[in-house]
Amino acid sequence: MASYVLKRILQGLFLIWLMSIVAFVAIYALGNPITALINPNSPADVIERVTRELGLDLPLHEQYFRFVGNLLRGDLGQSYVTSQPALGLILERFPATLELTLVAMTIAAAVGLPLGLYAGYRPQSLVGRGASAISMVVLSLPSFWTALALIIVFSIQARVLPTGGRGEIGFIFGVPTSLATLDGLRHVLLPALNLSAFPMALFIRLTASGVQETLHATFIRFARAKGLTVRRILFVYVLRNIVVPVITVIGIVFGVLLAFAVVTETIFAWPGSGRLIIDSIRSSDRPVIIAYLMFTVTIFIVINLTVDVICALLDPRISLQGGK
Amino acid sequence: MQQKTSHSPEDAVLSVEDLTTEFATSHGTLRAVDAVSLQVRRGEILGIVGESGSGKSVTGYSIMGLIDRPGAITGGRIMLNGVDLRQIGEEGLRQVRGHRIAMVFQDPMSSLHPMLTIGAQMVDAALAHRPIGRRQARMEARDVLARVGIPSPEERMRSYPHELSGGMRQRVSIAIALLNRPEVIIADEPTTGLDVTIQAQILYEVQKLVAETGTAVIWITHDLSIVAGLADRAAVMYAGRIVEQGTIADVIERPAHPYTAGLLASVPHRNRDMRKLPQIPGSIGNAHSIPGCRFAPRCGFVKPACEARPAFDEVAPGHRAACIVAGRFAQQLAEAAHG
Repeated sequence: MASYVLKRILQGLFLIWLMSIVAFVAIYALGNPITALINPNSPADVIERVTRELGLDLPLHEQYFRFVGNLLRGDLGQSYVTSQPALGLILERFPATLELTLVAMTIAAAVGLPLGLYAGYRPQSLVGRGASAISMVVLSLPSFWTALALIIVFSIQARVLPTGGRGEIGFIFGVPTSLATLDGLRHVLLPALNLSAFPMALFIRLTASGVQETLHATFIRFARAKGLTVRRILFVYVLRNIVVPVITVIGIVFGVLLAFAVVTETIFAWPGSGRLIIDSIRSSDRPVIIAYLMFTVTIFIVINLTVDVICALLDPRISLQGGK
Repeated sequence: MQQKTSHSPEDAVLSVEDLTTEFATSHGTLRAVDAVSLQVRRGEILGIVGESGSGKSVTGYSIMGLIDRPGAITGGRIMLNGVDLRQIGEEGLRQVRGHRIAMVFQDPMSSLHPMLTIGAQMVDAALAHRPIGRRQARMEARDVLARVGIPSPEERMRSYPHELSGGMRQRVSIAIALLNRPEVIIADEPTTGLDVTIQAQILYEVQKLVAETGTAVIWITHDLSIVAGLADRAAVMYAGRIVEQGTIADVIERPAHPYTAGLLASVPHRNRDMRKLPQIPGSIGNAHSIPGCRFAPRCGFVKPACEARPAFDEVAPGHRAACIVAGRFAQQLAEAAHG
C-alpha cells in the first residue's frame, strides 16, 4: 500500500514536470506579453528595459530553466500585474472555488444518486422516465444559459436570492467560509445549483445505467433466490456493485469543476480561482497562468490518487501491490 | 386448465400442476413451459433432463417465482405442502425463497456477489428469514460450509468469491441453499463446467445430505448419466413439455418415448470400435410452435396421428409418456436403444 502510494506520487511528480514544459511552451507560443503589459507607444528604451527586467529577452529554454529553478525553491513567480507571488494569488482565491464546488457536488450527489438509483430500478415509472429525460436536457444545456435563467427566475423575478458575489463570511472551526452565515448561504446557493446541474445529470445517468445493468446480473438473481428483500438487494447488492465507477466519476467531475468553474464564477461574480485565471489570461499575466495550470494538475493528481485508493479499499478484486 | 385437487400424492412436498410460462418476444408469445406437471416427495431426488431450450431451467425459475418480464407464469399451480405459491403474493414468495425452496444456479462463477465476503452473503441469507443474531448466523454458516466439504470454513467466510475455485464457489452456493434447511432444493445444472472428480464429490454429498435431512431435490441437467446415478425418478423435457416421467429404472431401462430412447442411444458407452454414435436427427429449432407432438419432425416412428397433441398416459404404474406409440412400442424402443 505505502509503496504503491509512493510510486503514484513519483508518477505524479513526473506528470507535473511534463505539464510544466507543455504549459511553458504553449504560453510562450501565445506571443510576447509585453504589449499587453505596458503601453505599446512607450519609448523603445522603456520597452527594452521592462523586457529585460521580466527576463523576456532570454531564449525559451533559458526562460524555462529559470522557471524550473524557481519552482524547485517553491517559487512560481510573481504576477506581472500586481507583483504578488502567483501561487499566493491562487491560494487566496482557491477556498472560494473549493467551497462552491463542494456545495455543488453535495447537491449533485444528494439528488442525482438516489434519483439515478430509482430510475435504474424502475426505468418505466414516471420518476424514472422523468429523471432520464431531464438529465438528457440538462446535459445539453450550456451552463451560461442555465446561470442566466436562474438569475432571471430567482433574483430578478422572484427577488429571493442575490444575483452574485460571495456574501458575508463566517468561520466554521476557524475556516473562513460563506457556509457559516445565512447571507453567505444565500449567495452560494444559485452558483452552486448552476454548477451542480451537469454532475447531477451525469450521476443520474451513470447510476441508472449501472443499476439496470447490475439488476440483470446472475448474482442479483441468486440474491433474490436467497429470499432477500428488495431493499437489501438494492441498497447492498446493487449499490456495492456500482460504487466503484460512481466514485471514479465523482473524482473526475470534482477535479473538472474545481479547475473549470470559470463560467459559473464569472456570471455570478464569484471571487474564485476561475475568475482569477480569466483575468490573468486577459492581461497576459504569464506567471499566474502557468502557476494556475501547475496547481490544477497537482489537484487532479491528488484527487485521482485518492479515488484509486478508495476504490481499492472498496473492491477486493483491485490489488494495490502494483502487480496483478 | 381443469382443476385437479386429488391429483397430487399426499406425501409430495412440492406438486407442480399444469405449469405454463410464456415469454413475449418480437415474434409473438413463446411458451417456454407448456402444462408441466411434476411432484417430488420428501427425501426424493427428481431429475429433470432435457437439452438446451427444453424449458427445464425456466421450470425451475418459475417454481421460485423468479420469472421477470417479458416472461410470466400464465397457468397452473405450484403447490408447496398444499399452498399455491402463485396465490401468496410477492412478500409471501420472498419468505418461501431460500427458506422453504432454495435454488442453486448453473454458473458458480457469477452466482456470488464479487464484492461481498462469503460470510456476509451467507449471513444475509439466514437473517432474511430467521430472527437469529448475527453471531448465531455466522456459526450456522460455518457449520454448513463444513458439511459441504469446504476446508477451514472459518477462514473461507472471510474470503471473497474470486479467491475461491469454481468447485469451491459451487459448494458455497449449495451451502447457501442448505443454510435455512429448505424442504425443496432446485439444483440447475450445478456441476456443469466442474472437473469430473469435483462433480462426483458434489453429487455424493448431495445424496448424503438428502438422506440425512430428508430434503427433496429437483436436479436439472442435460446429462442423463448424472440422473441415472443420482436421482430416484426422472422427467424428460422436450420443447417445453414433459415427454416422459417415471422411476430411473423405467426411464433408463424401459424408455417409452422415442426422444428418451434417442437420448439414451447417444450416450457414449463402451464404444471401443469407434462407431459413430447414433444421433437424433435435426434440432429442437422452433419446435415450440408445433401444436401436436413437438418431437414429430425428428421422430422415426412418426404417424399422421402425431399432428394432435399426444396424451400423457401411463405405460406402466407410475411411468408416463406423451407418445401415441409408447404403450405398444416401449419394448421395441428399449431394444433399439440398447441394441
